[in-house]
Amino acid sequence: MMLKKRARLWLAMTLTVSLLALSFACGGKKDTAEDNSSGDNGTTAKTFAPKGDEGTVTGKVNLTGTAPAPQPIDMSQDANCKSKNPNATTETVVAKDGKLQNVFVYIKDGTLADGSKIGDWTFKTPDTEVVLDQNGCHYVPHVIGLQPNQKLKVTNSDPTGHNIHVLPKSGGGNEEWNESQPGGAGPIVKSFKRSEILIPVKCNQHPWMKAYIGVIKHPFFAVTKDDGTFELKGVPPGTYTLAAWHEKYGEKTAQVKVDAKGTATTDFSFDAGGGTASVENGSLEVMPAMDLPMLMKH
Amino acid sequence: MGRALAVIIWLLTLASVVLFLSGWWFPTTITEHGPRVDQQFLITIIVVGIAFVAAQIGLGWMVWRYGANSQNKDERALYTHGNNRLEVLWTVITAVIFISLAVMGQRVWAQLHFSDAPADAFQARVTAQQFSWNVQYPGKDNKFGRTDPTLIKEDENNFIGLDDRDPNAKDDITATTLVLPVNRPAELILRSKDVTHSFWVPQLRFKQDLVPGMEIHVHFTPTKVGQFQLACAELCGMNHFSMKGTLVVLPQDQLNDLMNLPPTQFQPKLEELRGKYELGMIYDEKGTKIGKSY
Repeated sequence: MMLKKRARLWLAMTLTVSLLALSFACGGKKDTAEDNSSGDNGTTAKTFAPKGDEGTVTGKVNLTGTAPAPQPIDMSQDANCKSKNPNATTETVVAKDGKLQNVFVYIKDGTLADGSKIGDWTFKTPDTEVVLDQNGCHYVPHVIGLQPNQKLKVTNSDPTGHNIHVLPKSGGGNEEWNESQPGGAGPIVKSFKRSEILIPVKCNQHPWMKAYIGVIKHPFFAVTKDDGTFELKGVPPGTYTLAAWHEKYGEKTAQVKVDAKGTATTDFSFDAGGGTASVENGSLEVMPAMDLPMLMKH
Repeated sequence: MGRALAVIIWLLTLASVVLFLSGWWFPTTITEHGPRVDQQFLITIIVVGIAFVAAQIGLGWMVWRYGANSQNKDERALYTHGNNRLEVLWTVITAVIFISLAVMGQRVWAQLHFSDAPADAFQARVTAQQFSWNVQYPGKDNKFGRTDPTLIKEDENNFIGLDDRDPNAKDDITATTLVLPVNRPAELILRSKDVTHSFWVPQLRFKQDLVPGMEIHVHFTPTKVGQFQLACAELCGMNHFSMKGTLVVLPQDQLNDLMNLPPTQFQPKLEELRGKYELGMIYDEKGTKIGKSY
């Protein structure tokens, strides 16, 4: 009888220790990157609420010099692409009458009228989804912006399959992903945990396809339209560094002061002859050819 | 069941032989060396076919004669230590046959891979990548422009890293379609950007791997005009199945006209020329249809 009691005691202790170990193993360390409500730097911050005195930042992005002509894309490898989009051209530089499209304009830094830094605030994640469509074997739109944890909905309007390969910077907190989406398949919904300027997207199936996603903690960003204009609405009064980012020409910044209920105007200008993209092209690494006499001509 | 099994074995053997004798064969070859490759295949098939038929007849006979329901249930099996002389004899015969086949076959293979291409050969660089083919033509100056992997910008149509600062690159043409002239030796320089791929146009009668870090030269002479599918024959990733391209063999004058165009006019002209030749059909050197390629 005593032995039985002792055995029960041991059994109970073993079970308790096992359960404790299991609970530590499963729920121990929480990934701080999952929660961005406290801002990028992980510090506790106040949540921004509009006061009704917000202003607007507008402007346009100019391209000086002769813009490189868009080149026709040879889509022969996929008959579906070729028939749906026979006149496809490259989209790296899309300019009309000296105005540059697809420039991501955003508030990079700055101080609000009350002296607080914009980076110290947190912003509510919008409920709306941002759509990136694959249509005619190119991405529409070419450049998009969203906030951390906001839903990105990737759709495929083509009769052919695509393979979306999102390439954030390694170690930046956002995960690389790579998923197939056959023609007619439902949307893929994802989100990004951290701010990042800008994440390249490529299609592993069609190498000419490229898009860029700007993830930014606040909603004060815009992408220039075909007339080169942009508009950032609901900006709290303050003094900011405004940045304009282009995939080929890199980033330019300007200072802008937003008054209560005011409209500040800032224009940017890129030189068509320049060409230093600030984002890696995401191409597969290429091995240089070696001399191998056995298989070379002799 | 024993005797029925023997009959099934013989019927399967007969069906296999009939399949080959009924004319089942590769797509029509379109290269100068193709008939020699086909001849080599034919000799090999005849030799191994005879051995196959003999072995199947013997197997069926054994099943018929000694099966469970044969008339010789009480017959006792004989034990044998084997026959060394017989072993040596059939091993030597087999070795002689296979070595002879290999020696016969290596000449045509080595001619494609190891001998120099003729000086007037038409050259094209073929660079494979997951999951497409890129072809670089040297243009009017007949010199390839420099390529550098760090210059690759796929969204700007520069899939091979062509250096536009190099004067030799100014007239280079890059495309996804391989175009070759008929009745003129063609030399392909095969490269890969990422993983191992394999260049395979069945009508050309050769298959060659493209290996990252290597430039592999191969040369041959197309003898028929037409459009033919280029496939990757090495599992290269998830979308390997979609890695297809097109080989277009053109009459000499049409190819010359195409190659003398400015790079920007190449693709529209190529599309126009492709419209003249139906995929799967073969045409003579002047472009007159002569039959099906498969």
